[in-house]
Amino acid sequence: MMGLDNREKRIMAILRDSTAPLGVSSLSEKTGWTDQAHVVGAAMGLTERGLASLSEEESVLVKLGVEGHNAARDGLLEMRMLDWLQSRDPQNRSMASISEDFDKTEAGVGVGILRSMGVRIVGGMLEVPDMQGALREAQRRMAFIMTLSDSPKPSDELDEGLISHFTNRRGLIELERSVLRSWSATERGLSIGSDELIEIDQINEITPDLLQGDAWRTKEFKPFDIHAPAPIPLGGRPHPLQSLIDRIRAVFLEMGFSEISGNFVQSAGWNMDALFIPQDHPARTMQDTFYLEDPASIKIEPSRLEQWEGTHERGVGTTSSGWGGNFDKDESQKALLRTHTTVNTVRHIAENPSSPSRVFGVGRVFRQETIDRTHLPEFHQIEGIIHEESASLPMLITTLRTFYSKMGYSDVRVRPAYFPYTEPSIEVEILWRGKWLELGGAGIFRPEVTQPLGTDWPVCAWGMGLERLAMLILGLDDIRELYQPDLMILSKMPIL
Amino acid sequence: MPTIKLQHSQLGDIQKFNGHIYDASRWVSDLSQIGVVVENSTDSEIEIEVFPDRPDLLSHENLARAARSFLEDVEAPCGIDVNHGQERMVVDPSMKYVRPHVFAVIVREVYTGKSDSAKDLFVQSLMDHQEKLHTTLGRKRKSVSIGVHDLGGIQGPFSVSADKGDSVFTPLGEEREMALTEILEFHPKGVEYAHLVNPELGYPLIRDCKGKVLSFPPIINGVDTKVTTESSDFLIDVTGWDRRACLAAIRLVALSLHERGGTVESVDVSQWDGSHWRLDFDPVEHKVPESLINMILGIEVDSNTMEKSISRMGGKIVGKVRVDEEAIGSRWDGTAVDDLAYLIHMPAWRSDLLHPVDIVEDLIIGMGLNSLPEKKSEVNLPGSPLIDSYTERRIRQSIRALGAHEVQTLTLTNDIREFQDVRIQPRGAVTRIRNPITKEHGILRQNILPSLIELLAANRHHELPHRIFELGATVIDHSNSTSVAWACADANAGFSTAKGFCMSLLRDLGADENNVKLVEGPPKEGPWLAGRVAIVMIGDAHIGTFGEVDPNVSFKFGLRVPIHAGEFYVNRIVDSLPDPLFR
Repeated sequence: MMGLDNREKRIMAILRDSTAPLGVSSLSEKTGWTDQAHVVGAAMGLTERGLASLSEEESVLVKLGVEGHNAARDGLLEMRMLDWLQSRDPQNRSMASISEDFDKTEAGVGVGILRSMGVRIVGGMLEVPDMQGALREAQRRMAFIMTLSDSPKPSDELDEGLISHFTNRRGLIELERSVLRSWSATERGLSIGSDELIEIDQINEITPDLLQGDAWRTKEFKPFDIHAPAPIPLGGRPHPLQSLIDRIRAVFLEMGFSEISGNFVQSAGWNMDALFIPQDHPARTMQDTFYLEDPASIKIEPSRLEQWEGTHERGVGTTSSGWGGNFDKDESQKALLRTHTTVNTVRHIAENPSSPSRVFGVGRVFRQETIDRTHLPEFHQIEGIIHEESASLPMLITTLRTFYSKMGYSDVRVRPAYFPYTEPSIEVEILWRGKWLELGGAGIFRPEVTQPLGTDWPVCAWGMGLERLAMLILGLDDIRELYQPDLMILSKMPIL
Repeated sequence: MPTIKLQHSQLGDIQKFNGHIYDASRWVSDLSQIGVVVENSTDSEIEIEVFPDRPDLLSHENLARAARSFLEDVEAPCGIDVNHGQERMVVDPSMKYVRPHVFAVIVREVYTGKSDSAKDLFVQSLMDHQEKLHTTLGRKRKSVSIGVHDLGGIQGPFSVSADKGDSVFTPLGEEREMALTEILEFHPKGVEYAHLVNPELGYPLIRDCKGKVLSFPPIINGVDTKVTTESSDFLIDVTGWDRRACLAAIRLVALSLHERGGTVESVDVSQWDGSHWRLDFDPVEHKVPESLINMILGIEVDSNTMEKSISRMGGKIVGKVRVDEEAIGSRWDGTAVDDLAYLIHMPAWRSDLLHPVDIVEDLIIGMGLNSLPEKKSEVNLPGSPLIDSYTERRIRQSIRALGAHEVQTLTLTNDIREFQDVRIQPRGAVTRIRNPITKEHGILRQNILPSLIELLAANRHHELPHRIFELGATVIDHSNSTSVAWACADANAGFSTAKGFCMSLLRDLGADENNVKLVEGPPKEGPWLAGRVAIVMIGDAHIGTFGEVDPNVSFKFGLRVPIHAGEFYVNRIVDSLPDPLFR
């Protein structure tokens, strides 16, 4: 008549037999169910049908904090300090030696606790008028901590004085407020006939043994509570930056770009001079670039150096006027950590000046940046180039639109910009959740860059940072969450 | 990049003086297309970021002029008339090694504003303009330093020479006379820029005919010629080491004053080498081949659009010529003899125009970037990934399948973490930074495992287990290499789990079990526990090492949990275990 399921029947039978209201833990015990969700589910079902009544009572659960777990393992600070005091003669119990033997974060706090336990400081020495009394108190506190070390306990089972003592100390215990629920049978519940509470034989777990026989054919499969919590497996997962790199690589490869890479250690010549960045450019200073002690310099063939000298000073090999000034060949041969991946693309053109190419690279670059929420001294750069006879600004912008739309950003706009080695230079903006965001720079390499490399054709180039995009997608506001992560947070990020 | 704050009131005053109306809202909506970034606009001011190649946009007056052409299509002459002045400046040969380039010009009858407050703002903006030029063009006054003086009360001829340092004058910001050496030691500007003068070669000084000190470049001006709200006639001096930048600076300051109705008057500067110099404002003629324009823009531009676009950028097309032999300096711009080239006049203060391609950029900015057609690449090329990336993907998939979480850590590290704490010997030369930010990041890593142990330590407050791995770059003998490492803090795992990880990886990579040889690792080398470390050999190649981490090592990282780990050299894996598809 009631359509009770087996669980509800069992709980109902228990409630009928009990004179006092029963809580979750006693119901678990009586049913033998380890999953409390079953108990609560069934009891709430009975409540909704008016067969049981629910009463709720606030309670406080006490559990150990991080420091509490440490104390359970290593002993409370006052315990360890009292041990320390006992292990030395009274004349050796000085404040100075306590600061030597205990970590500085512990020494001050610990002495404070000892003083509250009756220890005195006289002339820089610690005096213990009642060692036994202090030890008893420390042991009492220790016992309290140990009580909680296995599992949290309701506050009414614990010493109120010690709860309030530990609440005032950092990190030792945590109070968790919860509601204690208990159920009792209602008049209607009591009126149910016993035969109605006989449980039908239900199949819980499906086992291979069970399926070997035929008995299951006449039994019922127990329905499960689909809302009951289930453990979420923590499998091996890719890092979001790596996933993003893989997607970007896929876009480039689809578009007919080939992948290139290069060394972190480069010469200033290839990293800067080849890109026509003047030698007195602010980005070349020690405040911006990591120069190396080992290797201090990298040899470059003299003909190349002379070529850069001519181009920088007078625009030799081009119709440029050059930067003027004096070019320093030693400066070119200084070793540094690459500041951009453009050094790879430029070297690629130098090695293949007369074949058309579309290449890209994703790699780490290094800048003199102090670590904070938005800066790291190393980060990833993505870069692509088109080197062919008919390369032009419209081809660059068309390619950018294709690239960004394959990335998922179909609204792209460009505006003039400046980069030392491209002319014209443009800034790329994409529409991201209703806002225009700068997501990369682009341009055509200056003739002073490409002509000395021996190419007849323009080179379209564009690049972007990887971390900023990753942070936007993942909603991060701190770049360190990518490189120095809290593994719990990292394990909850979606797979990109 | 320099960011400037401009007052709406000043911009309004300047535009009105030039017969125009200043429209702040149009500046906000449209000016970025000229190649600046409009950052912010409030009731009183507008904040604009100017790219470093456009120092000609760094003042109220100069940006207002550019905006009139760009936003209002006002055709402005590319040159300015300069009166042939009578004043002289004589540069002493002692300046050759001190600040070799010295220039000067006079601007008279400058309109500085109607009200006192407007005049105040003018004086302030004149100072700001100089400071912006000092930091950009001037490379913090090393290449260029500028002095602007009230011309009233001083008389030419002016002299510029290197002083021994015992001369005295009252510098701006002080109320008493100071010796030059004293200024360098005590005056704030002296302290800031003392490194730019060399006591052995002398201190540059500019004086008038009566010996009154105008300036001690690049440090500070004298109080006698201080610009005030009363000033209307100015002398501008520029000294420095970079001739091109010095000439740009003197023209830009003079242009600013000219935009306020000032008459520019040249000064005869006799240089230390005996030559004479006078400032001119004649336009500079650039020869821009049509073929270069067509190549960069990918379209043919009609002459009407050309004229209009160049005019918006402050220039003028004056004709067309055939390219002769002499004009062909380059191959890149694809010009040939008999190609047509535009003759384009651009203002002399546009010092950023090094190559005809710079004019092409101006042209496209003038046309608007959004006017370009679609154009696809015309070459058919297949895209190929780096060949090692296949193996790297397979390794990542294999280790992920073991439940290890991929991480990325920094390549920058230090000797203690990288070698000492983990008892690892360098595998080759260590790349060492000369100017690290912190001692923690002074070298490049040769192994990945130490970073992983460090990351486990940073996460020790979390419940176990932690299984992490990283595949990434290491640098040995200053060349990039690739390694993969795992580290697991797991209460229920040890050597045999590590061996399982290794064998699983080798199986996934298609290794033949008969070729794999495990060798006992040497004790006390590496982070490993003696007797629980194995070196993995494939043929003669040592492709990696795995085992249990010695608690003595993990304690140094603050870890008190069992850790098993391994590190494999991807380059050697690629060589020893060929890709099944390529085999």
